[in-house]
Amino acid sequence: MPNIKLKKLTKKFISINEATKGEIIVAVNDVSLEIKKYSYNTLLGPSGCGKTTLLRMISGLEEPTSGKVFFGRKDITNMPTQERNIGFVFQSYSLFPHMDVWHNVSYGPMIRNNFSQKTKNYIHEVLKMVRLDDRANAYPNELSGGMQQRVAVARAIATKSPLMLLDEPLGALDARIGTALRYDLMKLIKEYKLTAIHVTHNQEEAMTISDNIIMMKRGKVVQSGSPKEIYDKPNSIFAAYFLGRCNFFRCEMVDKNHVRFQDAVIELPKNNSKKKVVLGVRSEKIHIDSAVRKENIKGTIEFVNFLGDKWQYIIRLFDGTEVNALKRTPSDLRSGDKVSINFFSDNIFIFDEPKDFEKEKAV
Amino acid sequence: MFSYKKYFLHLIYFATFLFFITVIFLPAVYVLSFAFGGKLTVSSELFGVLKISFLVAFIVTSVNLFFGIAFAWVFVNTKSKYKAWMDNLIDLPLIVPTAALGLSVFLFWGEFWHIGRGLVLIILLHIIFTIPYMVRSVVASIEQINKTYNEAGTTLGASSFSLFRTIDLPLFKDGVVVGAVLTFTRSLSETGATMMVASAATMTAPVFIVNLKHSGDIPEAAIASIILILSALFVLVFAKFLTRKKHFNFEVAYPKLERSLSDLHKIRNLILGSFLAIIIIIPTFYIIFYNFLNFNPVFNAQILESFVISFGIAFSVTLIGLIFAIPMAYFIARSKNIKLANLFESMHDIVLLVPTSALGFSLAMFWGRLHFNELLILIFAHLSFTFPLLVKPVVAAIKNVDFKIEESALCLGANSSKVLTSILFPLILPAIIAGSIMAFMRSLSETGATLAVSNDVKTISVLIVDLVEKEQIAEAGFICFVLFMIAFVFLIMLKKTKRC
Repeated sequence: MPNIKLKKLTKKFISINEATKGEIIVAVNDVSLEIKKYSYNTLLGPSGCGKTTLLRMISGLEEPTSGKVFFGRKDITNMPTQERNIGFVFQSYSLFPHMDVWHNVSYGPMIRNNFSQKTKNYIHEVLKMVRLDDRANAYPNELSGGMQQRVAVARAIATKSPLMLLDEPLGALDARIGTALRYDLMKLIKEYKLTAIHVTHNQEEAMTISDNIIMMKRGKVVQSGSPKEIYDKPNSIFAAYFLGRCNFFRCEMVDKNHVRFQDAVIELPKNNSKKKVVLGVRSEKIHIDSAVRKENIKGTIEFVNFLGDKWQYIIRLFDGTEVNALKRTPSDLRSGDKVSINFFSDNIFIFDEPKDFEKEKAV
Repeated sequence: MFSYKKYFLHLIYFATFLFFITVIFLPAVYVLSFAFGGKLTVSSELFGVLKISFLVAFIVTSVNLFFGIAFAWVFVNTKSKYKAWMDNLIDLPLIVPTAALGLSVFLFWGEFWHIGRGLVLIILLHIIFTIPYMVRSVVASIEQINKTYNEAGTTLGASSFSLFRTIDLPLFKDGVVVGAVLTFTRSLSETGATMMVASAATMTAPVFIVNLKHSGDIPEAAIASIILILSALFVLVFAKFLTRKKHFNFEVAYPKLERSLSDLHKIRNLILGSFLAIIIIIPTFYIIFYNFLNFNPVFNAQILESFVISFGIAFSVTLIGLIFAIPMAYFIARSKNIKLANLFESMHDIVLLVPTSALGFSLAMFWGRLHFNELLILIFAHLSFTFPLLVKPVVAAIKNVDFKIEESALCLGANSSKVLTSILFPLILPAIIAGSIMAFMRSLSETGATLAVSNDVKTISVLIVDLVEKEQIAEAGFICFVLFMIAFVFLIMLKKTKRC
């Protein structure tokens, strides 16, 4: 399996929605990417960000308006889907309702007339891997959602294609089953040495399964990298906001490495030449102090939520900013208490002040 | 609380059932009672026409299976801007008055190709008015198939012909069966148009029934009617049996062959296009062209009278039908007594399937015993075959409305009659209008049953048959032209209501 390269891929639709009829919608806007072989990639972003469209263009189900798709050095932009040799798992699974599990899974080899004894053994093996070898004669409507999902994955794997495209494969399952199946999926992909591109809007899912996250917003790739890279070094307000929990403070520069928020002067981890900046601090990096000091950031606790393994504090600052803090240990703090908050300068992300702060965050 | 409303509702239902049983259902199947009375012998003449009828129905169904499925498939899978027009064209034979259609086909093939009345012309004609049923039902069931099944098949490596064979065909099979049943029974039962192209030597059973009725040979007509009705019922039962199989597992594929078949789409489109033009569209529209060549606008008293009678009947039948059709549809769609609802629904199907001339004969026998006025009998006859057309779309529309919408209106404080008028009625209004137009057009254009009932009162389609028999083709042509235009206007109205 060679690497996959996308070059300036763009997809424009003409809206058929009554309200915006005839308008041109740019679903994917000039995306260039390289996907490394044998890696597990997720396309992460809010709904409508173009991630599914991008996946469908890689599969050939959608024709790009412009740009090119390469498998290795080979330009496959105009190759029909049938010949691309891919495995595709649909969000709704799309199991053929008139065929049983065995015939659903063997459909790929059958339709390519590659139905030797060896293939049959392989299909048995795949069914065993997804723990459905005893349900081979069942029809899709007799299976639970989780089982259907596994059949869909098995069907894609049975094609023996090295590239797996997964369109929100766990989206239709309830949270507990979805979480359990994540690991199955990861194991299968690694076991069969496949390259996977997995579309999801669930950031936790993306964090757990990915080698590489490609974060998208409004048809563009915002940032890509390993989960840790993006979590620790988000390159934008959106990236910080969408992956994990992050609080933002809009500040004015005092000098080149100090900013002011309320009466507090905060030291930056590095120098900055802009006049206004937005600081980002992860929720677990916020410290709450019951002693209110003038030189700290001050607010009132609105809610204290017990989450089982930790406590969540929602603090309303005096200028209206909401701060979300997570603590592992219990405390005496109650809602209504006046508190001050602080954080280490190592834990600060610095972003430029955007034209429209709310729009920047908006999904 | 003693509920007046519940009493009232039961009263409405009771009246509706009474109306349906006595006016619609019993008269339609009354002729079957003859089977217990007289002796049943099939004369060699009757045997001959039955043979022709079944032969025609069989050939037409085979042709339709091939072309109907191909059309439906291409139609669903093309994104042409002419699609809406294609959609209208394929429906046109459905609502063009049958006598007008028959005359148009007769004139086209006769004048240009010198094909005279007889078997070939009957087959050509029957293909035209049955193919819309086939295409409609197949398109409807293809459109129900989830599009991602095909996408899934594509990603697994299937060519478009393989997809068609292994995924779509098994899934829209029921639509094909329904289309084939409609084609077969319509071909078996059509009268008005067939009269225009049948000869004395080669005629179908329904035409034979009308002739027998008019020459007074009641027992023979009864036997012919019984045979037609029973074979229609048999086809229906057979179809139910065919639609039972839901599972199809495929073991073999022929990738090379199927891929090359997939690549033949240009030739396929050419064949389909020529078939559509030469066999369906041009013969249907020829009557308009004919009128430009032989323009003969005559409006004598008789024609006017026939128009008035036809419109009067069509109007009153639609109106009376509506009064009972809406409660009937509501009962079928919403009743908790599912068995009774299903029974009523299949009774409607039976009435629709009864060949019209057999139906007309049956009705004439039933109402004739009571010595009713002929016009009244005509109205009853038309009620019988238009009522199911009114009920069916309304049932479908009510079933489409989520009952939760009604429940939420009830929770918001609307009483049940308010729910009916403010929620349900606006939602099903398009279906009511569509059903009314279909019923109105059917009443206006029906020939077979009308001929079997009428003696002196001439509706417009009976008049056309009369004129053609008297060889007054130009006059008949002009009336057909007018009817054709009316049908066209109604078709456009129908499409508009479907859109909103």
